Amino acid sequence: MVSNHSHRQVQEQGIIQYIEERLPVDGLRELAEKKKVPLHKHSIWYYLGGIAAMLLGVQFLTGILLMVYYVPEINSAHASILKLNSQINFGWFVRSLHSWGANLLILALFVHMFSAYFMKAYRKPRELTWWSGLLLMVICLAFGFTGYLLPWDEVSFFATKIGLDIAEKMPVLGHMVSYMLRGGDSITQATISRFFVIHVAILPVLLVGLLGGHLFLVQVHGISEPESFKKLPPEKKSYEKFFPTFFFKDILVWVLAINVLFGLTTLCPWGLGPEADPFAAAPIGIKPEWYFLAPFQFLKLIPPMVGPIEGELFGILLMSVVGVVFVAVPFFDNGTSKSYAKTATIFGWLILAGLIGFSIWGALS
Amino acid sequence: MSDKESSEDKPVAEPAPPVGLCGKSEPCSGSNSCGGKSSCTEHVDPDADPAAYLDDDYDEVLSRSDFMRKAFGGTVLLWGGVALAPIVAYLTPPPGEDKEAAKVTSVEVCKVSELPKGTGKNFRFGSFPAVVINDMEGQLHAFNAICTHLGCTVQFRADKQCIYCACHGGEYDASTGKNIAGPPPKPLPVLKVAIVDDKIVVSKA
Ligand code: HEM
Ligand code: FES
Repeated sequence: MVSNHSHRQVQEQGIIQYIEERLPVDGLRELAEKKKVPLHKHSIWYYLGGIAAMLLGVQFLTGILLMVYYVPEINSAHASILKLNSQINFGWFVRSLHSWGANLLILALFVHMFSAYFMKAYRKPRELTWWSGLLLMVICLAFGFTGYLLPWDEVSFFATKIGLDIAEKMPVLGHMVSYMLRGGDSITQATISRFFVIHVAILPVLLVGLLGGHLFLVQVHGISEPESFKKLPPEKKSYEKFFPTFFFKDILVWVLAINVLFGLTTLCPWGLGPEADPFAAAPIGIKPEWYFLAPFQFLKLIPPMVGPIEGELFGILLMSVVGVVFVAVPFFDNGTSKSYAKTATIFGWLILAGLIGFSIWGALS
Repeated sequence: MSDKESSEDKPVAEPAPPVGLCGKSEPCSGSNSCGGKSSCTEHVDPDADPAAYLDDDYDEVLSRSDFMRKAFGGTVLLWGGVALAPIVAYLTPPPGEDKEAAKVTSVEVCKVSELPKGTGKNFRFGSFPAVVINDMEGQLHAFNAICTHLGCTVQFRADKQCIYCACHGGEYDASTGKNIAGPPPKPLPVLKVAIVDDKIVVSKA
């Protein structure tokens, strides 16, 4: 191959050169060196996407490990989790990591989403990044919803029951979709099988594809700068290099996040309620996961009928307005109007305050 | 994309009879005898607006590449539809899989002595959960226990002497099943109760 080099030199350089001759390493190196992270008082939010990505890695690893012992069968599911918790070496640890990881992941995604919203990172040219991010959020909520049924304990049964009954109330496709997800009119083995397949096969595939797109777009556009930073004269703008400066800070933050996760996992291992009984009454004081608390509390307040429409449907439609605004905000606030920009910001604060307020209220009541 | 392609396609289209071009330009008013070729090309100038040229008049002199594009699109849609239909059908379970359970018309719940005054008991009625209540006066009542709000399973609460749904705090009257508080929009469906040989037997109303 490289005939004019001595054998030893070839050995030293061999691997690097082998790769460089076959892959566009130079391009990648250039990209990593060129990429820079703006430094300002909101820079801290740039870490959240990375934390979410790291936690996703934890979910994949622990999820695959769980699949080894978990049995998606109506009479064995609960028992298989009990066995994981009590007999398998580190079984409780893997399962707790997965459950706590799911919660931290969704928390990180919420913060990530709202920080992107308030920094107005959805504006041109980053609309596709914003929308792919919204879809990733939906996928992760779907992960949470489908995973929650799998241990087949009391709360997981009723959480699924309510979730699917809400879906059923949606106009037009509601019935068909919930019937297909449930695999019939009531929650049975069919539901467990379907949720399992969605949780371990369909959603991971969607997630990997979409996350790839999301990260690619972030590379293409570079990191967004908030308006206040963009306005600064060039000599006042400071940046740090993505590689190695930001990259190593990123890793440090990951280590911190992992420590939080391990702390929660070891100090408060995830519990397991009594096995689900489809014919028993819902336990007093039942509540959904915290990330569904706000809509839960909101729905509690709505009277049975609002005018001619059923209260539930009214509530769902009202809440979908929030979703529609999040999807449409790049059109509404495209950077040309100051007052529209302000409206979008105020709307964001209202939603955030509503989410936090209703969640706390739901947790306390 | 269409800009470039249409200018490439132009030579193919030009030899086509002018009729096709005239057909849609107003002064021709549907007749073939418009004032000659020159006026027609004035109205639909392919160089000025290649897209319009392509969209409106191309259909009538469908070019080979356009035909292929449409045929390809159509085939993809057809294949997609053909593939999707069986998948949707596959995923829709046949109705009434638990037919046996749904056929149940009456259930023996327990001995009368096991349900003292002022208490209630949840039990399985074929394919759905049900609740039977012995009220303070010793009257028996039974209902389908599926909350009319979002389908949780209700229970009798001795402390409130009403039927209660833990999911969103819905309440029903224990003797009529009427929804009296919280989000439930409708009363609970009533079941018949009888005492047969000292046992509580609930049957469909
Ligand atoms: C490829 C990725 C994943 C695989 C293979 C996987 C697999 C599993 C398995 C086998 C279970 C049942 C065992 C158990 O209940 O503890 C489970 C439960 C669960 N999963 Fe995942 N999972 C994945 C990703 C995720 C993600 C991204 C989330 C984030 C929201 C998530 C949230 C949950 C939740 C909340 C449970 C219920 C935990 C419990 O109460 O035990 N999973 N998952
Ligand atoms: S499901 Fe019973 S009150 Fe909502």
